[in-house]
Amino acid sequence: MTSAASAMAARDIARISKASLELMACPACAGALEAFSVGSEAGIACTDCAARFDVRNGIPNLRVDADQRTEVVREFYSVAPFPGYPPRDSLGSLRARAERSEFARLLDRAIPGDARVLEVGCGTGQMSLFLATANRVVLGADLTRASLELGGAAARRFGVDRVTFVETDLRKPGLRPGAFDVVYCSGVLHHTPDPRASFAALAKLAKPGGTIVLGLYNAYARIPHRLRRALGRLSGFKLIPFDPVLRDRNAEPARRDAWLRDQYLHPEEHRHTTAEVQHWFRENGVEYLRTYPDSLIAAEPLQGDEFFTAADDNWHFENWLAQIRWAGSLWHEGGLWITVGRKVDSRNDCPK
Amino acid sequence: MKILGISAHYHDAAAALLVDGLPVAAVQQERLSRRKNDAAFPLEAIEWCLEQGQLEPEDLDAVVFYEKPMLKFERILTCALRAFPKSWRSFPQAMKNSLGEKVWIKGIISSHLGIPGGKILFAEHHRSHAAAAFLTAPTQNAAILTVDGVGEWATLSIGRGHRTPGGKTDLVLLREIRFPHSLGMLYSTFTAFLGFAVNEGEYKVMGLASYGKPRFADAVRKIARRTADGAFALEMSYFDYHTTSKRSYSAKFIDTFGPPRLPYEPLDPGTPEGARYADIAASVQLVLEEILVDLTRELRKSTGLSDLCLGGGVALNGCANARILRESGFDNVFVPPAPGDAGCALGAALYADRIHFGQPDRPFADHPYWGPTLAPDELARVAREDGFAQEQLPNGEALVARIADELHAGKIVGWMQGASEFGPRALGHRSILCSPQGAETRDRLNREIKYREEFRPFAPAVPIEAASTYFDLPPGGARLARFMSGVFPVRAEWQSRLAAITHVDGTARLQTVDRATEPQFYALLEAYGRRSGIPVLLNTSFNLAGEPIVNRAVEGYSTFRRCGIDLLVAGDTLVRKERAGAIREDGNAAASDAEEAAE
Repeated sequence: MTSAASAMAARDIARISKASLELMACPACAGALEAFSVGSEAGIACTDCAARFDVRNGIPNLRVDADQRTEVVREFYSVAPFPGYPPRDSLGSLRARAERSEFARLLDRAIPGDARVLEVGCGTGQMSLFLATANRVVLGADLTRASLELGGAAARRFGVDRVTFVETDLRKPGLRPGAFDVVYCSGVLHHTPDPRASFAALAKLAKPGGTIVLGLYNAYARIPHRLRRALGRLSGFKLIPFDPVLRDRNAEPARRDAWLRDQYLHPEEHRHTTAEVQHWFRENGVEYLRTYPDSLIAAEPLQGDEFFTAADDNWHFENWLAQIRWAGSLWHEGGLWITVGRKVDSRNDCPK
Repeated sequence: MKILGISAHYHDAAAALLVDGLPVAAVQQERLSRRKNDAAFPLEAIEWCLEQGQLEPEDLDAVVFYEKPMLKFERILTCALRAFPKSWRSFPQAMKNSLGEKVWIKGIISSHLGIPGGKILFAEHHRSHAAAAFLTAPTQNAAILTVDGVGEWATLSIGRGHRTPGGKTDLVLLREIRFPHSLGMLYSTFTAFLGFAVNEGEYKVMGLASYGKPRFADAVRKIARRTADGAFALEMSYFDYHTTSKRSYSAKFIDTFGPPRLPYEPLDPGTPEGARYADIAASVQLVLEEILVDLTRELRKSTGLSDLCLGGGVALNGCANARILRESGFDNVFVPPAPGDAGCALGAALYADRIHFGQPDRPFADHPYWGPTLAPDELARVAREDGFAQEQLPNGEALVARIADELHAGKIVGWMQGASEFGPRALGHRSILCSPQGAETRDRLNREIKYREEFRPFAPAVPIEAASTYFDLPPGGARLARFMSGVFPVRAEWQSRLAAITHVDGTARLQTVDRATEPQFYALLEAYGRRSGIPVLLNTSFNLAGEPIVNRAVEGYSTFRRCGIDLLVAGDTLVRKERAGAIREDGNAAASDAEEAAE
């Protein structure tokens, strides 16, 4: 029995590629990790402090004890992993769904074919699976094992072996600093207790010259949603007016419920402005590139791989106007906007 | 004479240049603008064609547009008025759509090219289709059938063509069926109902049809009722496309066939719901084939001709084409490589040359390679910049032998040679090639490159002489398959060894390759055959989902970088990537590390 258990553990570890193991680090001391197997026990261990971490179903557990508020969020997602997979899903239909979004297409187009990509707060991992093409190595990190298990199962079902899911907390990340060409984190930091500190942790993970793609609730664009939520609260969320996403999902109770919980009942939520994010960028040596949707007035639609290039301008008044505009254009999706930045290469001041 | 043909503004804009009766250049706008199904006025395509012919716009004798915009506007207006008051909501939108630049084509062409309005001609939509089908086919005397969604008024037309080498050309359209009765719209309505993109997803309906049983055929026959004269009429209460632009099928349609499929929902013919969609697809496919077979049988009887030229978007339906060849009584069925609206650019130019200007008939090469050629060294340059391993194999035989080896070893190869194809299909100049033998390579192709629905088949390419060894071809089938225009059964004894290209119903949409027009691709198939025993390769278009087929070497290279293609060949340059399985090997290395640690 022990040999069967150890064989299973060894197989679990074998699922983790060396390339992705190199992108992980000890959450306690940031040391390098290596696979080990002693007797019936197998897992990964820190080469510096010798801390050991278990691997179940190919998902390493690199989470150390979190603070109370983070734990509340983790519990929240454990109940209903978000966003989940429809029955009989396939890689083809997952990609077709993702490619309906212009944002996903632009992002995929801009990431090089051999990039090391990190998605922080990957949930059930759809975006990680979508981005895992060509020779990319993708790590999907999340707090909630229940979500990651769904992602890992989907990756195995679809035969995608370029994604590794990792259970970890951004505040004590089991991820190697300065290792990633692209760090993508959308709809996550505004659910952490201290988004500014979380961003500082996130920025450390990107390579010098690497790109950070950050999606947050916008303070202005979320006002309509908050009004809607206030109205919904009056009826104890039995009756929520003006939510097209909820209406679309009336026929699918599980997905409707997932959206309801995520948007209306979340225990931790912050909202941010373009100026605030640019301030975080400056604090952490990240050069501002652009926003999505574009904050420039009458901007040309992006083509090809332009997503990771600097916008023509960055004028705070124009940004402010854009946020007002987004209150009209982004409200139905909850007011999430994307900011793209480049980690400044400190060894080489003029970017290539 | 120098004549430029243009098609634009509905879908698949294109331009084609004819000099002294011979095509010089033809290209779809999407290949240059890199926007899939680009319908915009094809300025880049026109510029490239003129550059290719070394012409200035003022050197042109005529510019021909592929349809008559005013006639089309008349149709839209009439239909909107007929459908009043039901159409009042969509009326402003319909007017806005058509009254923009679509009506003022003459002014647009004249202002873009700086040529006088007198040089601008218009050919009727179905005459362009007919010319594209008949005047590019190697036949002097043929019946013509063009079927599509809609042009101005006609949705289907029947005619005959006659030409004498060096002499006069006659093209008469004898009869037409008018909007809203349209086989193209019938098929597109089912395409939309089944949750696929119209003008794009019709292939998927055809692929899905093979999984189903036509148990709804009677319902479809009721919708597309046969008339006493052998044609058909649609029962318009099932449709909405003539009254609104929002939805093409009506509530009655849903009552008959059940709820429509939501786009992007996974579709698995193995489930009851998926089986219903497959049965619906099979039913509409069957009824389409029945109508076309009856029409062509009648046409064969009335004309007594032995050749048939098929045009219009419906001629892309390879299953229907194969049935027409088998059952109509025609000896030869010719389908041009670009039967759709893009091909009308060439068709309109040929029509103007031969009919309007009465120029003598001139035979020209029977191939689709009228697009931009590869710039030599382009791939070598960009790959060098990124530090990729590359090789030059300037000796043709060495290149072919090398690639055949790689294909035999299970590699997936991006293959770019010469001028790109005119039309929607990759025919060996901008193709992704791999072994057709196991399902394994096909699955990898799907998982890492194409991401197609599982129910869509991949197509094989085979030397024309060997085609009937592996495929069950009727007489004339090898010719029909030259541009992948027909779907034919794979011979039972080969099906298991050609698993990757054999569809669920045992068929394949094969391409037959001719040594005379395609020496290099032919040599590759032969060389591969010497290694594997079967000279058949899986040939799929070189593009990623949602993108147009690659055109220049840089686009091929960028695509190669962004997906799991193992090897890229452009001209005589070969670029390779780490084998796609390398990462998994690393994974095994991690496992063996773990084992070592255990010891």
